[in-house]
Amino acid sequence: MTAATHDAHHEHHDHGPAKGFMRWVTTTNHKDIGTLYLVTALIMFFVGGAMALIIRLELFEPGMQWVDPLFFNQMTTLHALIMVFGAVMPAFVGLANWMIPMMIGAPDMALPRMNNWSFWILPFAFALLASTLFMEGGAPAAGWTLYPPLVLQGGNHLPFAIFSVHLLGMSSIMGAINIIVTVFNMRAPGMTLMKLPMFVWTWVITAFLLIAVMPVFAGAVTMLLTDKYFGTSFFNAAGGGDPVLYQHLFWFFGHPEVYIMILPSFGVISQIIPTFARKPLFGYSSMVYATASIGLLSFIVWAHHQYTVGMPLAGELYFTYATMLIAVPTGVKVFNWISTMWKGAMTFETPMLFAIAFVVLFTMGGFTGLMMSISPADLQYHDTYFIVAHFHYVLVPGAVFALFAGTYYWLPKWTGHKYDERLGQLHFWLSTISVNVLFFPQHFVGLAGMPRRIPDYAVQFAEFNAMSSAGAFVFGFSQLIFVYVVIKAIKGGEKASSEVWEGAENHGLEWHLPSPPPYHTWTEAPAPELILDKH
Amino acid sequence: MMALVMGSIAIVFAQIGAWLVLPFSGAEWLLFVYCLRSSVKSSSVCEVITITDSLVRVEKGRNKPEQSWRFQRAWVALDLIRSARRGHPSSLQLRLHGKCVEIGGFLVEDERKTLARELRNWLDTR
Ligand code: HEM
Ligand SMILES: [Cu+2]
Repeated sequence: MTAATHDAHHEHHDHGPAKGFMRWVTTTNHKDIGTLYLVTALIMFFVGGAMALIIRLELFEPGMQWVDPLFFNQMTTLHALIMVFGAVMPAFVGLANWMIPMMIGAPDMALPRMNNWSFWILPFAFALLASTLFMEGGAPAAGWTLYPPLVLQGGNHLPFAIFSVHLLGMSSIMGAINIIVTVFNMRAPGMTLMKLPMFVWTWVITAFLLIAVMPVFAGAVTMLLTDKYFGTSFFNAAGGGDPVLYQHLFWFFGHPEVYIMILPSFGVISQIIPTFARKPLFGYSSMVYATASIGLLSFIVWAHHQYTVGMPLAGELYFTYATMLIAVPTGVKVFNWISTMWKGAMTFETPMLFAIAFVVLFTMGGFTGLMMSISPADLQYHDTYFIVAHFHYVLVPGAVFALFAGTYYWLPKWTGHKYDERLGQLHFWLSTISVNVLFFPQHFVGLAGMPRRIPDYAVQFAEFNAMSSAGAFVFGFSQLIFVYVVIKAIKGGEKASSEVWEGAENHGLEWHLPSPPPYHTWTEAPAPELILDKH
Repeated sequence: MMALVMGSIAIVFAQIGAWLVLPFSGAEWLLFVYCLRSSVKSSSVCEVITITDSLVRVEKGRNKPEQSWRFQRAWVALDLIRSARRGHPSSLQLRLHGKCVEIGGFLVEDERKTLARELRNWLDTR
């Protein structure tokens, strides 16, 4: 007899889950780490959300009522940094950890110990960032873009904030490397690249974006530090530097960064819509190429954030056209989602509702993006609430709704229990209505000239701002329903089958695993006939 | 490919004065290569255990056999040794006359137990 034991993940001398708190500290299990990421992201979503509510409270009526302007600016800055690096990105890394091994037929992530590290850096990074609130001069208040010279004129926070950003970046890089290595090295036999589920594809492309741009950001913020403390003048005109150089560095990172937050959302939506339309995804390969094109184009459009710095005319034109080009692959994706739904046997459970709202509202955010890509028009929109409305449409009913959709979709798989569908739908309707009440009026005040990052405004903007604030509070408190639904499903409830959703077995390997899946996912590679040609 | 893309990004920025991007790109590139190689390496680790009427042979290596051990089937002992520290992995060993080889070191605990059970079956029956 010959028994061959093949090593799938050597670093991983693992056993069942250890007990208690240490289980979570020492875990190298992709599901545990996924859960840690998701829970952290949810907490940070509430922290960042509380800051947003402080902002909206102050903006409820004209005049200064609740906070002073410096604190207001700290809130906008921290709100954004926390939402971007604390809520949306870790949440997608959490989904990746949970789902990628299950979707590609792997027993775990390729580098389980690094996986543990990349999570446990985060709490320290956030603690560091939050501690700046209590320092002399307070937290960074120059906006999440940290533009010099303003950001250099604050108090003592700079080294701490920058170290925190470095840690967050390191964590993202390790997460990205892990995902790439896992997907390239750990796919089950028969799982060729063009059979990968869309969620996996979008994450691979996202991971490459992260690896490409993170060093630029790390370098840029380090130069801020040396400019302030070590007498360099990278961004200081008096010493021969150029503050606009920082803007180029930041947005060379920043534009791909916004795609880092949206591409995995596209992936989640591309998993959900086929399941509930009971059809394969329309145009799978065009989806893959469209995602890759969006990824590539995202490197060559950064200066559309800087139309007002006084670029040469050729630059303005180039960035206008390049940016508009992105609408083409994005349009392909929207078209394919709609075609997937076309004549499908659709049902409207909570994940599908969020997915449909995503398609509609993200597209609206995309259209305002097209408006801003036209450089002469952007001179009017720049730094107004129109921008705030635009990026919140793509981030909240975009990225965040995709996260809700994904959570509802996979929650029964993770916990083994069905969630409360009625409460899920209530969460959906409250969120969708209030998010529009919150952000739609901001288009109008923006077009009328209300600047962003400002604690007070002219009385002509009062009505729309009051509406917006009311929407914000309803939206914020509706999220408590979500927390309740998730906790309830973890605690118990109707048992979910392994398939969970009718016909889901035709839409991915994860639905062939029991709900909840065993601690070690695919200890034996899935049977080749389970691997789908069409998703 | 990746090196080319990342390298050119860093070099272009260095050209326009932002040379501090370079060390970060370099460090990241090294980490990436290290991770990729260590994963490829460890996923090619392989052990083959062959049991004939009289012999038990263990071969270990990456992709091809690099080391091998032979034991007389009749006398070889199989031990599953628990770690003294709770929660740490056990070790499965084949032993005879002071010659000893660990097998299945990369398996998870349950799989190692299954392997031990199966091997014991094979070694006892004849
Ligand atoms: C809970 C819903 C949210 C509300 C009520 C909200 C509200 C706000 C408000 C009032 C501002 C300040 C605008 C200004 O004065 O210029 C702001 C800024 C911002 N928000 Fe949100 N937000 C929400 C969710 C998010 C999410 C999920 C993200 C990102 C993933 C995000 C990213 C940002 C960014 C990048 C800024 C710009 C900060 C800056 O100007 O530097 N927001 N948000
Ligand atoms: Cu952009």
